[in-house]
Amino acid sequence: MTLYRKELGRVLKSLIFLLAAAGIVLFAYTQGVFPPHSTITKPEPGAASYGTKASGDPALIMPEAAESLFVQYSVNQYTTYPSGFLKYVKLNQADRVKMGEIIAELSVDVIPDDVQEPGDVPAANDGTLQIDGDSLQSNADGSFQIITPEGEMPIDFAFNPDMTWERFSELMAQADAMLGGGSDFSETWMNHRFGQIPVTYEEALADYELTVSHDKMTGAHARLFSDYMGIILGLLPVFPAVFLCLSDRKNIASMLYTRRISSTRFILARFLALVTAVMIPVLIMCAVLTGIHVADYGLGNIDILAYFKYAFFWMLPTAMASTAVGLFFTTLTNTPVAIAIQLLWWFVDTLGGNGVYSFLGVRTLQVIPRHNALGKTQAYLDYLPDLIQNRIWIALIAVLLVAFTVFVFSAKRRGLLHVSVFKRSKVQSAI
Amino acid sequence: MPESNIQIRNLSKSYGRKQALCGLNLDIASGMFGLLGRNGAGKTTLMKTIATLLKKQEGDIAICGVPVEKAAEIRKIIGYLPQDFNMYGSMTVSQALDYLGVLSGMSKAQRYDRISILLKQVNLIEHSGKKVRLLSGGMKQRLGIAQALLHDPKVLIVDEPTAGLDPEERVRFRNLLCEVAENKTVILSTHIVGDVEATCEEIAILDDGRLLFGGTVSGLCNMAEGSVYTAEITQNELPKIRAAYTITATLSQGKSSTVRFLSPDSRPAIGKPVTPGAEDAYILCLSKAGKGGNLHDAV
Amino acid sequence: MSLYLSVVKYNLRFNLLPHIAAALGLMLLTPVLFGITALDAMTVAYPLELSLPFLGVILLTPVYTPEQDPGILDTVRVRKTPHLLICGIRIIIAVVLMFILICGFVLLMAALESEVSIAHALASYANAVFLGGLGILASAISGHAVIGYMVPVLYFVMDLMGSLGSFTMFSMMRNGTMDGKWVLFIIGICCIAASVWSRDIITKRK
Repeated sequence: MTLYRKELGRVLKSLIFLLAAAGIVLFAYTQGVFPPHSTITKPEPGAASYGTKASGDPALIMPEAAESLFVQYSVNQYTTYPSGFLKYVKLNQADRVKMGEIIAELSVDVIPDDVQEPGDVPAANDGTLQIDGDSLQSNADGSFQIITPEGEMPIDFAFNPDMTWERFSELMAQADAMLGGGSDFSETWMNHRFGQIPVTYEEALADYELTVSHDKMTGAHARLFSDYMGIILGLLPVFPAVFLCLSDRKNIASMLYTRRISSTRFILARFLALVTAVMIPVLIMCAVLTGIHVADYGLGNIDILAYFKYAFFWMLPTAMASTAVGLFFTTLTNTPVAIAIQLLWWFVDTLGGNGVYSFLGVRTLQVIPRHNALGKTQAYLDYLPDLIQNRIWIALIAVLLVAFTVFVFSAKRRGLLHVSVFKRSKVQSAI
Repeated sequence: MPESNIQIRNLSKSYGRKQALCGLNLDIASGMFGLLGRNGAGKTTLMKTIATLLKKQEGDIAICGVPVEKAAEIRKIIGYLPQDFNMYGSMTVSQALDYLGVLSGMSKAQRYDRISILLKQVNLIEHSGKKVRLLSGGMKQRLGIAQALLHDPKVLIVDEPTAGLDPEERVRFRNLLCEVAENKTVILSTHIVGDVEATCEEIAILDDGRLLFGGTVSGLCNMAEGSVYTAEITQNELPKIRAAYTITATLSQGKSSTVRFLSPDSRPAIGKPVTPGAEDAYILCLSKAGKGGNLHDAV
Repeated sequence: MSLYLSVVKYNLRFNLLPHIAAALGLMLLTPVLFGITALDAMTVAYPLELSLPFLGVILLTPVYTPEQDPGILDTVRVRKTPHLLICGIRIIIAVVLMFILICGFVLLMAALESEVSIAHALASYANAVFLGGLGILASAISGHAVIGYMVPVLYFVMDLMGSLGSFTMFSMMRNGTMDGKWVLFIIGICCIAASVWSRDIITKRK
């Protein structure tokens, strides 16, 4: 406990912590969650829009998805997210023929014969396609028309009404595989990218009432706050961890290694101190925000502890993970490479994947779960089991990395680490 | 004016509220010059100011007639071994010297000649291919002195070079410095009186940024004449003696101890006078400074 | 001249090599993460604005770290060749390398039928100089490379997740324009210059 307090004091007094804390608060401010820029209001009947939702209806999904595939096929440029990042795929000749066959099965009129290079002029009415994005015209009913060059008949894409959902799913799976995975036509994405329908007033009202009863207002706000805080806590804590570990190099390391304290207690105290430190500005903001919501909604209408529950359950595992990455890789290598590793993890997590909330389920190793909406309580309750599993996994990964750190630290104390990139320890522990 | 000569006049330097050097006046001739003082006395500040690493606030310094403001000129004629000398760990000994030689503006031929001579002189020739981070403390200090001598400077400034060295290394290092000082000015800054006593002709004692004493070692000892005593006492008497006098050495022999102590103001009730050593005189000088007096002897 | 070449050689080999390796690693990782084949004029912005600017952080931020040890700093500073000149040489190496790597990458994208131009390369380079400038300045003032890495990363995150108006790094991605790139480049150069000046003041105080 004494060591934890001393390490915490050390962290809190360091310049890097002050900068990190300022960064966390500044980020919250620039993202409009500290203070919050909006309040939850009851939906009014007759509003222009209450948002959209995925219908999950094959009758709606299939034609939209098929047309989208057709459009992307026409210009031979497919949008994919194979590793979480946006990636455009261009198919070679052989794959384009195969894709053409899929298109043919999905449509009524279009029977691609010879696939031509972009810009080629197709022969009249022989079913070949003019591959040129400018030649596509969207019709009022949602179908697309290819404007062939002057003198040619326009070609409409009409979805094959006899297509079954099973066969459709098979064809889309084939298309997705050809594109390297992560396309709009993967099972994960297809049900949510296509077949969107408007949310009705009744549904919006039901979600609002759920927000009132389940979230008690502050829960919804806390969720949005956690969404943004996750982004910054998934990255910034790695810096104080790296800083603290690197400051133990050279002469200080020799003194540390020969102390009585066990490696486990030492590393654990350091880890807990670092996590506590980065959560301090978060908890302060939670307290301030709770106070703001008391004024907005009234004390009796909110859950006073909502922000703190989310801080513990949603944000803490993220902070633990990024801290643990910093601790482990710095102890292992005596270099700041942990920053690059955590940045990469953060990149893949933030810029790819699930979109602005986790309606697709939360991935096991997703360090930053998203819920970029105020409310959407039902959607949250739907993915909550995934989220719980994810948070447990992320916390476990953090604990595992801390355990590895203890192992490495202990090995260094005994002079057992002999990898050329590591500084060879000349001092062996008395323990 | 002799060629190897450093003149310091009214030198002052402060860090915020702390006065590191205060109105210092000193002349340093060629040969070995010792600078003694407690930790925090201002020795390193003085060394760094002479070496152009710190800017003085008041006063003048001239090295071989060149004012210290002309840093580029000064750096051609001085060599500096810092207190915590280090070099890039991934370089070998010879690579480190070669790189520093480049930074000293030496040609390839000059570097080649000087490095081989110096490595022999400091006894590092067998370790020339060893990486700096794998050198022992003594070897690193020898590399330090080699790099300070690389461009054959007229003035060599060494800041606490023997701290952390074993007795054999210390002796070797002192002998090396004496060898070097034959035709140069070497300023040796240390708080180990033995190093200065063994090697230096002239010394100065600093305390709190001021000059307490400037002169020879024998002159320092003469000033302590009649102030140093030795007595054989019991263990029970030891605390009383410690409270009454400044003890400079204690030799325990079973139930009794032989103590060496200072009594500058009057003849003590016990003990007999002995010839003061440099360490006795140094401690006497510092203790008098603590009471407001000093043993300053104008040079 | 040969002395300066020796300085360049030593610094490349002993002080800059790990960072150059990291920069090359980033170059290899970028096509894996983003895809650089047949991108249109809008989508070329993704790798050029999201990934390549980190070359500035990797190569510029650690310019002063070889002398973070006070023992090394004093040993080097007392030399005839001014220490800041050595740092200046490292900075020049870094900015030249950044330029070569970014231009090379853009040429590769062009060869892979992406719609890139020299303007895209310069825009990405401006981002890299800006981000690297923030890093080197933070590193010089704080005396710690980790703080130097944190400041540009924090700026990057805040800009990406919100938008920092005229000082956004993502004008190509968001608007398809290169607005503000000149401003970012100039700010980056000013930060680099300020880092040299502050480094001079701080080392003379020690």
